[in-house]
Amino acid sequence: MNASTQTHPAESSEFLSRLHDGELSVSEAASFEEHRRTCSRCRKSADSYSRALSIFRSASPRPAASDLSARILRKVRAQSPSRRPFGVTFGIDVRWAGVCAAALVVVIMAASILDEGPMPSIVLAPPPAEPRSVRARLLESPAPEAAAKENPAAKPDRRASLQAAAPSNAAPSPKVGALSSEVAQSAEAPAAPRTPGVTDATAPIGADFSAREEAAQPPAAAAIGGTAATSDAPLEKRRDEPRIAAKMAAPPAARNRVSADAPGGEAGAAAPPASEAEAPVRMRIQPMDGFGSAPAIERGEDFALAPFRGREFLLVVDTGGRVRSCVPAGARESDAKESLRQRTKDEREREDLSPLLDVRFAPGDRPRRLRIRIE
Amino acid sequence: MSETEKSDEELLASARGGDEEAFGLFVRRHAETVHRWMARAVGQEDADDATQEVFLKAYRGLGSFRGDAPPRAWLASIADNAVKNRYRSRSRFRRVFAGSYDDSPGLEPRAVGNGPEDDARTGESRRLVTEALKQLEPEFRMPVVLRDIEEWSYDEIAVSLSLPIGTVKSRIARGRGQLREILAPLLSGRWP
Repeated sequence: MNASTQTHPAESSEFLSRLHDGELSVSEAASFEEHRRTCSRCRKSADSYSRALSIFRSASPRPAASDLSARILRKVRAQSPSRRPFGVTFGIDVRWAGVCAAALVVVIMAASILDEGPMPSIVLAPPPAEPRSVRARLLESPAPEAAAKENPAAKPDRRASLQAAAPSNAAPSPKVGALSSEVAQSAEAPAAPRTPGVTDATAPIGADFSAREEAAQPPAAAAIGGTAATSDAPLEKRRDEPRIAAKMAAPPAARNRVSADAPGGEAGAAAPPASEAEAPVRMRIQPMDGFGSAPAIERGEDFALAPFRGREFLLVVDTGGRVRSCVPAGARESDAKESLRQRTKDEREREDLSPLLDVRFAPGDRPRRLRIRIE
Repeated sequence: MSETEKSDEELLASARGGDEEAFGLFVRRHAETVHRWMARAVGQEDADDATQEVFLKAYRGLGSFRGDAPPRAWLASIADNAVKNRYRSRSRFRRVFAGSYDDSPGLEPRAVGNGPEDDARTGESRRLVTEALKQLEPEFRMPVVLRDIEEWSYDEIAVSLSLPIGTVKSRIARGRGQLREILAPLLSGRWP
């Protein structure tokens, strides 16, 4: 502190600041008040200091604009590249998440559409060709041998089976014999595409006729073409009325599924082995409810269950031994898991399980829940 | 707990975690205050820009806020740096473009009134005071504003600006002294 400030303390900014803030000691304050009464210079300096600060305080600025906060936030958003933009929550950009979700939905929908679309031949067989028309034609038309003689071009070849399997409405080749034409017409029906040569358990009944009736024939002949084998077979054999009648007596679904196991109906190739086709139907029963041994079967182990060979079902049997409900529980051994997975729900719902519902068990004192396997 | 019930510290913590709404609420809470500081420190016409700059720096520096000082002290520190940087760059600009840049617009003739205090309450005097403040050293502005306008204690100012309390007192005293000298013509009636 220089001599001037010692003589006139109000010349010092620090002193005035302390004075203004009331930080002077009691003695300092009393001394300055004494000096101030006699020193106009210090009095004037102290007064101007107080007035300057008073002006400074009283000159209140204009209030901020009402949209200042909004402008600030806009600027923060616009000029903050180092941070995540608005719309990003929990590290996930909502906009991209939306795009990904939409893409996922499209993929799922496409997958479901493809799943319901034409199946590979192993799964979705076409609805059965009219077996009656085949049989009727077989009975009414000239013998295949005669037709073959009339039209030498109608040799049993693979083309016939391909035509029979084709889903198009194309007319059969004129070179193909009458029977082949008829088979082609039969196979035209509601047909989903099929691939010849692939085992199809849901092939039309006509194929089953051929397959079964020609089972005794050499496999090579059956492989060349079911039509040819059928054509070449003795007509009397195909007119084995008791056997046909037995098959026709079976429920439609069962008839449709009677182990055709050959693609392209009569034109199909691979017939099942004779031993498998003609083996007796057996049911293996496993109680699922823990109420003792399985009830005896009173009726049902017959040919009608043949289409269900290799499959397992869950049955609910009432006290009278009647099957109240039947649900597929297992897969056919001959079917790959893939084909079963691809089988649509609709197809499963269309499946006629009535032969299983016709099974009768020995009456009991309580309803039973059974798992059966058709063998 | 809703956003509006959160403390400033909680809002800043949420904003650090990416909650933009929390930072928006923090801005809305303090925009008026920061604008008041900046209107005194840099002038009314630059107050909006300066306020935006303060919050932009705050947003970018969210990670550096550790909560050991109140959020308003953190804002004051940012404001102080913003003021000093603003006038530091202007000084550099003035040096480079010496003679072609006039940063000291003439003060308007003082309005006729009953006295300086009365006049200060008018818009014209307010503008004059603002113009006078522009002549204050930048490093003195925020301490003076916080002390004489916001009435913060020396301790609060020292913590906010990360300065020793003696330095704070010295800067405030010197700033007040400059202010008195700048406003002397107005006080003596010699304002042009």
